[in-house]
Amino acid sequence: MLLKRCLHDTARLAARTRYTKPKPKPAPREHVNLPTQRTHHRNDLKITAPIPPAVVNIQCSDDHPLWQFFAEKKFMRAPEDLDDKSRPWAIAELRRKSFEDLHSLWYACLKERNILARENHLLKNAVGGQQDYYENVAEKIRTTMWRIRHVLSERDWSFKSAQQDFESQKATFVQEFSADFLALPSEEDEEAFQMLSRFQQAVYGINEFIDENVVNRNFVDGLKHVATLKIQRFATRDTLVDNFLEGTKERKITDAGEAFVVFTAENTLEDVKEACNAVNDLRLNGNGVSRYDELESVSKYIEQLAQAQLEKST
Amino acid sequence: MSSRYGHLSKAGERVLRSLNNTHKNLAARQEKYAKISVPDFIKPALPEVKDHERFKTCREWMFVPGDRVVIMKGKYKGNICVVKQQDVATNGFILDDNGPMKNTPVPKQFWLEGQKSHMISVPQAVSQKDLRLVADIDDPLNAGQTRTVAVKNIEFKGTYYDENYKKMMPYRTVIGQSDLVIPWPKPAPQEDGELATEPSIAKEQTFWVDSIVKNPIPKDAFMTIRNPHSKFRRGKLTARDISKLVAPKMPMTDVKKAYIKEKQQLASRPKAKLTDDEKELIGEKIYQHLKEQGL
Amino acid sequence: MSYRGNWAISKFRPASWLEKCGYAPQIFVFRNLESGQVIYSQFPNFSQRQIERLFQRPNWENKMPSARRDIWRCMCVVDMPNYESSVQLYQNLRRLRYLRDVSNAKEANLLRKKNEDGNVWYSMQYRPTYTQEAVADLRECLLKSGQGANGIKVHWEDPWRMGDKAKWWTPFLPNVKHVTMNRLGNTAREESALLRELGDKAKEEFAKHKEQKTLAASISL
Repeated sequence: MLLKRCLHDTARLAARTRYTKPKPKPAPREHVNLPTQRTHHRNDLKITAPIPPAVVNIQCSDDHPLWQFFAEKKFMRAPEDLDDKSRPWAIAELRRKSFEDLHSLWYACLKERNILARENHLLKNAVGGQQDYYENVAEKIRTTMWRIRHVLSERDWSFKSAQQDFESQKATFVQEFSADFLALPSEEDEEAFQMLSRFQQAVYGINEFIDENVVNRNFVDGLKHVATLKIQRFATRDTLVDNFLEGTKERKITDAGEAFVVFTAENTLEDVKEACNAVNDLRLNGNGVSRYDELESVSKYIEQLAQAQLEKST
Repeated sequence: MSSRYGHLSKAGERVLRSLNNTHKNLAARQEKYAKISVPDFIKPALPEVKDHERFKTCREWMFVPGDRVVIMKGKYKGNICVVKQQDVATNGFILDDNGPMKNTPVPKQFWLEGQKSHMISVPQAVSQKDLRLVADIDDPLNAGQTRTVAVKNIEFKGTYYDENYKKMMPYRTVIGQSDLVIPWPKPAPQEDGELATEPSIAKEQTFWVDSIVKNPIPKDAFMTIRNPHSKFRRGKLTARDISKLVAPKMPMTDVKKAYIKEKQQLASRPKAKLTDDEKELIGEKIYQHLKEQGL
Repeated sequence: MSYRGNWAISKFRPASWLEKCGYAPQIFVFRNLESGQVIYSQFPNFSQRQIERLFQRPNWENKMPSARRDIWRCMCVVDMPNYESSVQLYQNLRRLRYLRDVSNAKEANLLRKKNEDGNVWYSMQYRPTYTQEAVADLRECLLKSGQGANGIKVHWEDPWRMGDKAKWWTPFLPNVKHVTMNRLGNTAREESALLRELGDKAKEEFAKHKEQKTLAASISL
């Protein structure tokens, strides 16, 4: 039976008896290439509960811009804290307010509506409420907002129609004003020149703040007219000024450069006289401004004047 | 958190609203079941009114909170009560403790502070037609004394600015006796809301017209004040809108297409031109014919 | 590149390979924006093959995610002190994923938040639990990384996602540094550049560390 077929391992194990001599251990090898990958995952790893995200880690500064969507940094205001008593601004009240006021009121409204819209959204979704208390307040604010737009639109239309009507009445108005202005006695110079500055702003758009001016045909015409009025006012008091006025065509200043010199002079007799002399010098040197490049030269003068003022102030 | 945007968009609103339009034959039945399903402590004493029938102005309400009224009908007839509240949903008035009350059980989660029993008495709304206004008027018999009377009916004449209500209010007079004005009661003082503006600031005028040349409104503001390209403007239709509004053209049938094709083919046939020889030939023929006729 | 993705990064790589090829001793964790699933990678990018290896038991709740690059974002980067430990961390993370998905799936499922139907809570395709599990796994691996987790730095895309720091991290792993990744500009578009920058920094750090070590060794001699 020794020759009975056995499996490979069984045969070898069977062959090992206590009499068989164990093979000697192989000698340790000198140059062994260690395997490239020797690490293995650990066997003591445990499944742990998921770690939920936490808001605690996030630091939010007090001036974060998104705080503007919150009222008093609250998640939601209670309905009692809402202002449901106030009424929207009336159109008549808004008509009294300047554009800047209306502009800032608009943004105040917009901010409040943003807050309310956020709270309303949360109420309808996160809380699951059906109430309309945020919407009711927001609706009142919306009323104010459309009224602001209405008032501004109305103001623009009335401005345009007034401008159109004034076209036909401008000449008589200017004439009447000139007569009134020249008729005021010399003791009331201050009031007269205040009147003149209001007039130039109203009819020609000549602003006392130099950088706000826009130079166009109307502006240059206004400059000439105002300069003429100024000279005419002082012509009765001094022969030099009167002579100067005599020297001009139809007792009017028609050159933009000359008009500018007279216009910038202070409203006193001495300054106007000085201005007249300067203009005479200009004429002697032949430094006139051609009718065709009046606008360009006047805007250049205005720029220079603004620059000079800026330098003076700094 | 499921997101619903019904409060932001009006999409589908018409359909949802139409679900509430019940047929008039079903309305009564629906109301009955609605009434049954509402628990007793919420159930209103008066039937609810529709939105357009609700009172809005003080002329419609006639009585405001603070007025004294006398009940004309029912178990509480003759009681003089003070109006506590106007019940907007039913056009009724909620009165003080002298008015009708109902003892009703309330579930624990709705208990008020300090409540000890399930049963509480809830005031019941009273309709306008069951109430008459009570006023103190000068007694014509004893000069210098006042008499408390119930006014049968009141009417409104003229308006004045009411300092207490801070708005224009009509004069409330006894009907037929327009000099007998019953003043509106003084409302409880209220603090200004936080969105309110100080009257001095609101009244201050900051807009002055100072130039006919310079527009008081900056040019850049116009796109938001009055946008000419706004889709909400009348007469502004986009191509998409037009495609939605205009019915599509009916497609042509095969027969029609074939007919048009045939027409085109016929039209595009080359036109024969008479050459000089042919004209000569025709002339010759005619000449021959006429000759044969003996003309 | 075939449709299977970048072949070079599709295999498991030993420490020596990573060092030779210029990678830093880092582990990258990416999360899926649509489903919230997470993949671990030894490289600053990933391949389809890696996804297939990580999701061994896909089902309707844990679908095999696609390899679209636009829906994956780097969630965090872990800087390890040396390449061997980074490889080990990667192996541990993969092992934990295997435990969760295959061998201890029931136990893992018990820990998840459920909706009213008893399924894993979801909103549309999104199941936040997978990202949270990845954070928990990372913490578990770092706890078991030995030597008090010295010299380990975790760059988080969002500090919100790491969980309450005072509750989960500081008491157990005081030596682990937590940093927030740069979030200025279009980080989604610039992600590869950001990761490369992080990798360069980590390599520099590693080189410095090594130099110090050799210096110390020479002194002792």
